[in-house]
Amino acid sequence: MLRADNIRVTFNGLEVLKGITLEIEKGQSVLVVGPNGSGKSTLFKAIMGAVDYTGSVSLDGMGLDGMPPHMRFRLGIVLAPEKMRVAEDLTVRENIEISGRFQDAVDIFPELRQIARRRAGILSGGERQMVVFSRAILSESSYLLLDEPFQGLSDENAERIISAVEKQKKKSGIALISHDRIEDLLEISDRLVLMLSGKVRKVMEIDSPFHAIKKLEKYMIL
Amino acid sequence: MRRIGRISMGHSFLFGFPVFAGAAGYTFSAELFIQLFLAGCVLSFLIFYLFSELTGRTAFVFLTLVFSIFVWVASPKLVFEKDGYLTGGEVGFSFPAITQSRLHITAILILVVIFVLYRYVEKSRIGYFMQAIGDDETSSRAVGINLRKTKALSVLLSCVPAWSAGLIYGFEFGHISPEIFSIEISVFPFIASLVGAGNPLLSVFSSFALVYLSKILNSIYPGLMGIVYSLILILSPKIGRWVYVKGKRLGEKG
Amino acid sequence: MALLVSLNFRIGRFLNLSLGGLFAAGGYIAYFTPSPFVALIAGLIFGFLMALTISRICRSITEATILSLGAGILIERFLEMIHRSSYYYFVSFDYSPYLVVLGILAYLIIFAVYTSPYGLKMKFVESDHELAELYGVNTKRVFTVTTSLTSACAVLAGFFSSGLLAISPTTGFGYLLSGIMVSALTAQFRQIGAVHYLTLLAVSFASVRFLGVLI
Repeated sequence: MLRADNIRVTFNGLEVLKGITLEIEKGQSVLVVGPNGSGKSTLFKAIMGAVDYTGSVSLDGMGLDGMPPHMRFRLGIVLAPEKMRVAEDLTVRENIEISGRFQDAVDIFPELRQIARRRAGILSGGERQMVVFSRAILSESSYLLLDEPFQGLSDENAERIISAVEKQKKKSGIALISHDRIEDLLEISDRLVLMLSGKVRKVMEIDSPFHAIKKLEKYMIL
Repeated sequence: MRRIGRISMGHSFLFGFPVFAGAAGYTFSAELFIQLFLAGCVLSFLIFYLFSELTGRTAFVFLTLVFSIFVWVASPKLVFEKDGYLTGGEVGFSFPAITQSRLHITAILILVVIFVLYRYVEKSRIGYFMQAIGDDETSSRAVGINLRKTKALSVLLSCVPAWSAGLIYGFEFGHISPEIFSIEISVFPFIASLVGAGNPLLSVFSSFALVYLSKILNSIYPGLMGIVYSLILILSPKIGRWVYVKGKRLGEKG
Repeated sequence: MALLVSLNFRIGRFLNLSLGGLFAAGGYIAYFTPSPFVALIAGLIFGFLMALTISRICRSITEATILSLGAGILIERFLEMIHRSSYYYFVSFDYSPYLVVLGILAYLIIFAVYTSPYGLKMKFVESDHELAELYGVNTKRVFTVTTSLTSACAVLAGFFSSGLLAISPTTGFGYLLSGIMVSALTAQFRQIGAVHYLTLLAVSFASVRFLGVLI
């Protein structure tokens, strides 16, 4: 189990995360929602060790605090960062091959074959997102943290991501942040975490997506 | 310049260029001294303003420093022949003489005027604009602050004391050599600001303190003050984070 | 020098302004102890200590650059203090042919790294340091190794060039400046990996041919 316990993050004197606890189990998918600025992306970065935090992060009981991001990656925690982050000077193929075989990415998104040699810095938003998602899903991950994976994607490609996530769930624990396609994601998620102003406002086990949506509407998220 | 989010590490150029140009002109005539000094002031202002427009916070530090090193390395190449004698090069040029008492009174007057001017600007509308640009350039533009005008004024305010100090330095020593562009002089304002905890008034006192400390230490062992400067620079990220404006983090993209 | 500046900036993410001082230190080592091993070890130790200090106390590119400037001035002042009887030193031997060997060796190492499985990781570090760290690259180790090796190369370059130079504490600044200029010019081509370093070589030759080394 990947567990983040009482995580607090402060930027320039401002407390961005105010004691967040999040658990992700293997074979489980957790959907994290909340308005902009609620600290969702910062939480993922803290779990990855990419920002300074207090509290603790553990993997199957082993403490990860003080461990740099590359070590956490080697232990199987993989983050697909927000803002369609790609290595801009590298080609599409190179961006993906850091994690796995390019052909496996083409199997998910056939369009990647045509742009394999293109420099990632000049890609469109949707193309970047395909690269970011492929790179994350092809990594040998036991826990996958996906930050806004649908941003800029066509419906067809968003469907491909949902089916890839569903497949990946058999091998890994997955946490997702998304503002888009919440209804579809609730179908494949086991738990929903609602964050507001750096705190967890609500945790829901999802028995029925319909009820989960109703509850979310109460918090005016949808 | 720190107010608009820029640290200059090449202030020796502002300090030295007008007086160096003026001293070169003085080889030929007193009129040329004044003309070239003023031209040096305008040119050094334009160059630094251009740098502040062309570069971001991090690149500005590099560019000003590298530029001042360039001028330091290149300035000994300036050699003239006058009445069959060579002048300039590593030795430099002579400078007009002035009595010491008059010089010290002028220096104190300039210091007071600059200090009053700074306090006035700091509390004025334009002072707040500078602060806003230092905090966030994009947002400042969005709320309608004239970035060009404010930056130009800030650079000009930074230039005035440097030009004055250069002039006083020239009168004090009666001679200007390419060493006026040296790295020690480039980093001196940064070190004074660091020792003065980023406060403009304290920085003036720390400058005096550093000059006197320099005399004492260098009399104990020549060059000892250089070691102190270098140690301050090495430890600067630890002892004076207030001096650093927001720049790219280590490892940040771009 | 351009290669060293470029490696430090692209992989270490800071402008290493101590390289000029290290180059001069190489000349002094040649004068006092004409052993390249002393130069190599001194450069490695200095680079390692500087990398360690930067990792510990610097948070930004600017802080790291200013720290390296302080380190450069420290070397220069130290050199000036240790022997003041005459300003310029001259050595009676000429090791400059080894400078070519050092250059070839440096390029061979670069090509070996970039064509190895580790090459892609290095390219990632060059392009996006933070992303490379998130995808399993130990960027701190890469930084330390690069800074140590480039520092050692700078000292060795000074050592092998000593026969051609009037050695003084500021000997290295002209080379450093030329290195920064060539490096900045080559960066405009927006290339990455071994190709970038090949272009750097071409630009270096062109600048030496047309402009000469600024010293």
